Amino acid sequence: MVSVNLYTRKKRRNKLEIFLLLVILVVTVVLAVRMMANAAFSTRHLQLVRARSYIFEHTGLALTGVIERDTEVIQEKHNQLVQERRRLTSQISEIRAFLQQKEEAHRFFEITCLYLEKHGELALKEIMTRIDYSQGNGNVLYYLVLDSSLESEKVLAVIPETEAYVKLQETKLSFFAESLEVRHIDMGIDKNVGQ
Amino acid sequence: MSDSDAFSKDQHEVSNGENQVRNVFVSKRFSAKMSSKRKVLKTKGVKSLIAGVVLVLLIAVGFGGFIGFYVWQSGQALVEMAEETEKLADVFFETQRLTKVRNDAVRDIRDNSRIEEIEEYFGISRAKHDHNNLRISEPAEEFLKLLNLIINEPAVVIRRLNLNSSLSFPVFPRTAMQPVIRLNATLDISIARVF
Repeated sequence: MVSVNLYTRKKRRNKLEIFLLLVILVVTVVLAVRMMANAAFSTRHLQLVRARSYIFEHTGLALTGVIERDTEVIQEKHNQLVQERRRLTSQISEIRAFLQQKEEAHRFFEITCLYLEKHGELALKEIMTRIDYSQGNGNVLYYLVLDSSLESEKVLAVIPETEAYVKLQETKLSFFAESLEVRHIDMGIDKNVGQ
Repeated sequence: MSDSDAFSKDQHEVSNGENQVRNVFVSKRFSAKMSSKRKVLKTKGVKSLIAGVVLVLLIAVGFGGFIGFYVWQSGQALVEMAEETEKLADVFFETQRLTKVRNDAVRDIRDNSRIEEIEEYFGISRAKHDHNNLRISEPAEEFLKLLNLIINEPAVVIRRLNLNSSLSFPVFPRTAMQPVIRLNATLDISIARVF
């Protein structure tokens, strides 16, 4: 009787085929899943780009579609914009400081005009002799020539909304004619007092 | 085909080493199968253990490395890109807002500016921003006009002003002649850096 090990040969042959089939199956599934994942990330990337297309268009960003490369491009643009923001902030601070100075000066002269007008309504004549102004603070000296029959208390109390940092010093000079009265007003405006 | 023909064709002499058998019956189909050329895939095999290990490794590397690592890496990259995009959006809108604020401020200053008149009067240029010890000596009316112009000029701020009247003492009121009072002033000004 011929000794032929058919069982062993059949078993080995099937194993190799099945093994290779399984390997091909696994590789195919892996590649398919990888492609699906790739497609999913590409879709999400596209959604992200579309959602922020306004910004990308206005900043002139040309995206490549590769996530890592696009991230680098976005980072570079972000750094540029941060520098731009710093420059703008500096400019605005400068403008703000300038306007602050302007406002202080304007307020000083506004208060001066207000007091001169109000006192001028009572006085026969008002004569300004000196203004010393520096950085929002200063002194204004002026004379008021008044009718002596006027009640003296009314002069300084004529302005109801007296600023907290306006200080008036009044000196009576009554050595003119009997019907006249001269007052010397020293108005000090100190912006730091009211703060 | 008759059974005798089939029997005659299926009779072969088999010589197999020491065991010599003549006229052994072998199935025709099996004989053809045995005599046909064997392919490597059908003749070779892989040990079950090796095949199992290779398959497990393939699955682990394929799904773990090729897909898992890819998904993790792409996910991280996508998250990073989304974060960078958000930061870019924040900075972009902030920059736009600051640009608008700056442009509005500059436009307001430029539109309401009459700086040419001040430049012409003092003989200064806006190229230089700080001008010190500018002197004015004008009659009161002219002086007030000039002072109003400077105060209301948005591009110019007065940093210091020293004003003195030519009068050392107030004139008498109720006189038919208008007093000619000359005002002398020294001032420091700054021109906004927006031109």
